[in-house]
Amino acid sequence: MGLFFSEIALELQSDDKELVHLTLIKLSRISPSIIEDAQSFYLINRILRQMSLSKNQHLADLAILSRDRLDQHFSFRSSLKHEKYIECIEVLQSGLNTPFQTYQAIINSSEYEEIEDLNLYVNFLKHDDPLIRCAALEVYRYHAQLEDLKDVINLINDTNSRVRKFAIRILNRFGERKVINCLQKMISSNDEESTISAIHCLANLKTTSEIVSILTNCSLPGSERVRSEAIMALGKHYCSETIAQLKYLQKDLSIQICEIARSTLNNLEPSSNNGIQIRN
Amino acid sequence: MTSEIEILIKNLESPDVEIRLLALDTLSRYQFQNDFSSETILGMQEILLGYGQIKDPEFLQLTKAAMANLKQHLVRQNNRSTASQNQINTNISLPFKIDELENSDPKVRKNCLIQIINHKHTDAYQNILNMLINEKDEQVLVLSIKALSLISKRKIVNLLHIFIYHPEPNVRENAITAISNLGDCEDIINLLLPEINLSNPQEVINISETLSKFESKKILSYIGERLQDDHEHRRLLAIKSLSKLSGDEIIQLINISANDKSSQIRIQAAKALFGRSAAKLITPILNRLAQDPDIEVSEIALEYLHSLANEITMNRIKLPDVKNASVAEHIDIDNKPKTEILTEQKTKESYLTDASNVDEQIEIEFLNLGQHFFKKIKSGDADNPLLTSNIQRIEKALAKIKQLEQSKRDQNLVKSITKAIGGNLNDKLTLQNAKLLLEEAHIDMGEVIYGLICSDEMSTQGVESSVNRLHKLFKIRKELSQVSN
Repeated sequence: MGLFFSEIALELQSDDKELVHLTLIKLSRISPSIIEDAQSFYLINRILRQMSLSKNQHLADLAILSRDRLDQHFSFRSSLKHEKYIECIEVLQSGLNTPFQTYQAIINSSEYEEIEDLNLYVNFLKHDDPLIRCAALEVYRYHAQLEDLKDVINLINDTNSRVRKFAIRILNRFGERKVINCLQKMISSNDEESTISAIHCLANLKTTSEIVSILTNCSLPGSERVRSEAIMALGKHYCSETIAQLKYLQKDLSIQICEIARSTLNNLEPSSNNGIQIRN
Repeated sequence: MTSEIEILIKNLESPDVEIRLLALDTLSRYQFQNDFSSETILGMQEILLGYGQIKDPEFLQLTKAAMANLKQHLVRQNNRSTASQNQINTNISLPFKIDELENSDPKVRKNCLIQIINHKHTDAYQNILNMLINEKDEQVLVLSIKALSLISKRKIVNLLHIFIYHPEPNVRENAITAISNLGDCEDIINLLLPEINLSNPQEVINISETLSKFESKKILSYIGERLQDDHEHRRLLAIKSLSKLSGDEIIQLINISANDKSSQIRIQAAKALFGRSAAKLITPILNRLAQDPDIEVSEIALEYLHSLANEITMNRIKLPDVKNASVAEHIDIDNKPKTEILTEQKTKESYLTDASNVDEQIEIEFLNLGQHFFKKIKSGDADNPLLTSNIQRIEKALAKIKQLEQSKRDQNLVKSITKAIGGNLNDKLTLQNAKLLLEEAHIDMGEVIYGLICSDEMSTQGVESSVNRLHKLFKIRKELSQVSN
């Protein structure tokens, strides 16, 4: 044991970008057995969170990666007192804030130990400002239950790359198995919007035979809209099963489905980007 | 691959230094066939790069020569291949694809790193850093550390620091070597010194040599500053550094930590005083710490006060000036002028110039061997009838300790009250003595095992490094006996 989060925090706040870069790589290799002051984890977490929102894409990606790795080893520690949390909630409920005040209130409240009701934050996930969407995702990262996952699924297709990365962090927290089960549940529900959200999410994940099989099932006769979305999602998973299914769908009774299947098959090509790999 | 080369490769990897030297000598002069596999050449380079920090000048020279011969062959091979493609050969470097560092096969990544080392490809810096985020292969890590220490600036020590804590000794050793070579005085004190394993003679020798590059005054003044830093963790690191050093000046600095407002630092200060011989300087500090309001601090101080009576001493690192003084004190001047003798000693491990130090290190190695084989024998992985009595002794000592610890637990309440009213160390002493008996039993078994290993009656598997250290220590011991005779 010999590394101190407090020293690493000082290095991360250095003006020397090269030192910051090296420290981030160092952090990505840290395990609990070599850390002497785990109680300062909140310090690092705060700095890394700030860095993961920075404009320097490389450092932001490294900060997100380091946070993910550290989250596996070190448990979340509350650093916000109840009174402060109530203050944040009051600010958020007042609705008379600048975007920065809203952002600050959400981020600060995320450090409270037990947030059981996430309803207050759902609307912030749809906010125009990507920073506020990231802040709301930060709350979900530490406080969401599996059933809350449906709120954030859409955000892995967000137009803003930082938001997408914050959303993926939440999927990583639950792990691949639980996420797939949750998506299956959403697909099996009677809510078409929910099914389509799940299909959009599956389109962006790393290709597996299970995902292709779920999407194949969604492409079979049923709601035309669901089928169309499933066929387009299959187009992002290049494999022999996808090709076979798309060929089969070209002979579908629905002209629209035949057309989408034909166009998807024509555009199908092995992709160098294999989609998001959720941690096991 | 010819059988001749197979033998050469085997010998390059031999634990016996003499065999390795012969193999290196052969390799430095070896005439490779034109069509000789470049993969085998890279494999041999990997073995050579894995040797770690080489102290012996002959070994170093032969390794360099062998490396040069391997490189030359690769270059010749490359020239032939480019000429055969009717290309103008302006670049002697080998075909090198930097994206091979992302290859899923560790062998490919290793070969790529060897090429980077061979040609000091500074443009590979960023790619190596990216690779290190997920790298798990031990050999790739070792080669990455070597490559980074060749192509990077001093700042890289901040990253290499993490590898000191790597579970693989080879990775740790290479990280220590790289930081020693690249780091400045402050890096050595902050990153290396607190983590040096005092029971590993090689680490102690290396850090002593590294520290000898700097003035003791500078080292002590820097540690003194850190002891008063506003950040508690820095004060803690500074006292940990001090705990590795010997000398009266060190005790004076430890006294600063003994007055620190943080009990964690006072605990480290008490621990840093353990096993020091300067009782006059230590006793007042320990007496004061024994009255500390924090029960843990006072308990440790009381225990160490007792160890003073037992004259338990621990080997620590001597700073350059202190070290020179002690060398001058110990040597028999005879007819030689003092300066000449000091020059002779310079090439030897300064830490092991005293026969008693060497004996202590031998005991530590025997202890390691004894503990290792006891576990092996108990798990049924090893056996030898000659060790039966040693095993019985260890088991007896373990049973005694277990019994004492049980009674200690039973009397926990009584003990707490006793401690609160001033402390009675009788139970602690009995337990401590039982632990000493266990240690002795392990050492004795280690000695028997070493004898069995030397006569090829036991395998060295898993203890190769310990056996090598013992060979070296006995060699030094022999030389020291010859000098004193």
